[in-house]
Amino acid sequence: MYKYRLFSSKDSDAVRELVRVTFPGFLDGTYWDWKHRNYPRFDPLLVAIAEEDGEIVGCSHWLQNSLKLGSDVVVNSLLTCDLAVRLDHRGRGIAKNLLLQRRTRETFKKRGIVVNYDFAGPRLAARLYTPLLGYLPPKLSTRKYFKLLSWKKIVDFVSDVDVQRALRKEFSKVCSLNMTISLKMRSAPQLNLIFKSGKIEATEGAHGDSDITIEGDTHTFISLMNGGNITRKIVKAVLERRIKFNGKLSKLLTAYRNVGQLETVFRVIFTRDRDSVLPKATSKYDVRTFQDGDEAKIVQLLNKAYADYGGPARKSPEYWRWCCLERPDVERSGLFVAVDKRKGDVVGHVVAGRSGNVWELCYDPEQDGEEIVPMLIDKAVGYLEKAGVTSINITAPMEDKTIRRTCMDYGFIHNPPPKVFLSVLDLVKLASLLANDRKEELTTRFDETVLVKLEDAPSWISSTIFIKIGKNGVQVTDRPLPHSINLETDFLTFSSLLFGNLSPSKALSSAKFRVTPSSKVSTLVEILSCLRMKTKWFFPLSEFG
Amino acid sequence: MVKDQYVLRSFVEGDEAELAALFNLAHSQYVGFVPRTADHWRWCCRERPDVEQDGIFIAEEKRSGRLVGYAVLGKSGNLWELCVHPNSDRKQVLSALFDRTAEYAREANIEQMILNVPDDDLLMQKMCAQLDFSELPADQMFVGITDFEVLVEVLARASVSRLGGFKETATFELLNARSWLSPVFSVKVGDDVEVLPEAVSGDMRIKVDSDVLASILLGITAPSRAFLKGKLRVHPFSKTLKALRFLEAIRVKGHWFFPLADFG
Repeated sequence: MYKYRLFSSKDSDAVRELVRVTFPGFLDGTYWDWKHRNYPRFDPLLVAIAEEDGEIVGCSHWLQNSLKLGSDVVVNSLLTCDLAVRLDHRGRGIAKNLLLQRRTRETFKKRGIVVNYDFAGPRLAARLYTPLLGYLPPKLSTRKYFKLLSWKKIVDFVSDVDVQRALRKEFSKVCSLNMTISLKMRSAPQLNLIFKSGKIEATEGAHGDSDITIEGDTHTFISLMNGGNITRKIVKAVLERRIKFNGKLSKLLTAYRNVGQLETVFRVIFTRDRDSVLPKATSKYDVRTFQDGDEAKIVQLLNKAYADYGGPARKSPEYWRWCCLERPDVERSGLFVAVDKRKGDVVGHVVAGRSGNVWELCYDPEQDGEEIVPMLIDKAVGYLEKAGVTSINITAPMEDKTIRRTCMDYGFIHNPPPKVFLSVLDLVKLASLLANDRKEELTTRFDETVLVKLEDAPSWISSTIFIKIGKNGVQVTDRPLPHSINLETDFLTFSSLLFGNLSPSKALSSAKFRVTPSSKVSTLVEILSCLRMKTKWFFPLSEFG
Repeated sequence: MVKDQYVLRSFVEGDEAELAALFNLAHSQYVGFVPRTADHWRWCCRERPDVEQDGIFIAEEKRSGRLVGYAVLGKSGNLWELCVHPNSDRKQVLSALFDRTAEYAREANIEQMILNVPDDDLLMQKMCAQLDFSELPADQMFVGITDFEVLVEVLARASVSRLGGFKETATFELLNARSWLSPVFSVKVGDDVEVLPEAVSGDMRIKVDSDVLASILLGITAPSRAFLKGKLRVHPFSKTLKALRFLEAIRVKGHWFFPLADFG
């Protein structure tokens, strides 16, 4: 049950907030204080409140003033304004009851009020004000003029990192239309919406490469910007020749085929409706350009991100500085760092070179890559597009679906990565490093000495290696040792086994090695399985170029 | 700077009374707006949250220092008030005020400008067109009558000269009157106008729907039209013409114009 009463000073905060939420962007809290509390003739008895269980859910205001009705006729009047009902309580007759509060002969007589007026849309007036209160629309001699000086708000909205990401995610199809739609609205600069490379960009001013141009009058465009059924409005406006479309037939057809998504995109952009596309109000992360001192944090990040990968060198800040920052095609403005807004930690970075190579793209695996990666790629792509590069290369670990998906969203295609070729210079040392790395497993499971006899070994490689595994540890040497297993294979097979390119069982089934005694075959396969590198191989482009 | 005759300056404290007077003078031929007092003007313009002191531009006559125009531009882009003294070179003054507001809008990164213009002010409309403004549908005002007795009294008093030989007592019987309205009242017109809150046995009785009477008084519907549509009846019938003339004489006739400041 709703209770209706008059305003008291303790209601100020709740009413201010209700009005602010109901009329966003127009009547925020400052306006309520100015318009009502600070009004010279403010009368709290002329503000009606609706509440439920002590909570204010609606309010209506009357402002006392005078209205001129003739050259010598000025009467006392009340302006009905700021009628607000909380969204979840609408449709229950609250507005009607609020408007009727204190609407008595006594109220009007006591204050000498002769007329009551308000400003309202025709639909609301026809539904509420005219039938309920007898309000009538005088024939106005008032004309309203409008001029749009700049599309800055739209341009800023579209270029907002969070909005970009959300638009790309929600409307990936239209983001890759490779099309520029220009709006030529009367009394406004030209607005261009560019759907290209998996993203949407908005620019202001003349644009030479518009694929579709929409020309029309201001009122029609504003009506479209206010939302509603945009397609229906467009069709009506075209039929009434209030707007017209120009462009290549193929592009117009493409736009027509995507009209559903385009309509939604236009609605989101023109109403700057962040909430409809952004599930989260703002990102937890921010992206900025590189600052001196970031090097150590970036190196830490690289080492953390690629800890499980074989390939990349464990960089020092100096090495990274040389490798990225001092690279001839890299400018500081092409080096972006993602940071945790709250903690300030570096959680990702991207190094974009003017050659079109994204030398490094890396993010903290413990953070939300789904948020960080699009932000970084967006910055890098934006920077490289401005630099006028013709193609962009990004490398990423095969397993990284986040980077892969984001790249696909941006219109990247997958190309085979450059190959890495490795050669062993010191097989004893490599085998020793691997054996010692798995020492615990080897020593607890095996007590064997393996003689590896290598055919076709290069001159700098010993053709025999002994791998001794016992309780006291592991030892790899080219000096002869008594052995329990004899393995005969070729150098390439053994190297491939160690690098993880070839599995021991596969090598065995392909008769790539021979084992004596044959009873030790399975033991040897297990030893080799334990020894071989299991890491995934990945190297960023900076290691390549 | 306005050519030679006028100069532009920003608002200073104490200008309110003169600006309010200029507003009332510049809008003297219109109805439907709030007449300005110094206090109301101050609240309505100077204290408005989006208006800075340097967003109020005042044009004054160089020689006499007389205020001849002003504009109030808010950071929202609303040109809340734009007034020019009717006895000035309106073109020069308006041109200077438009130039200055446009400059201010650029400096303040204002993204759009909106203003209300009276439809009989052709000069202002022409300037808006030259400055590439477009016309949009104006905000609609809705008016309801809360006290017919007082309204009829003040309108009749203001129209005495137009009433000619009308010396009658008319009783109004309002049909479908809402609860806050008096369903019956009488107006006695002689040398003076007197309204009584009851029916009197007088010269004529006018039976009319309350919304129709409101429509007539607000200048929306012509009394003769209401009569022809059967929405207004006069007893005795022979007094119909007189009653229609009376209503025609007192109804609001001016152009309804309100500046943006009265709306927002």
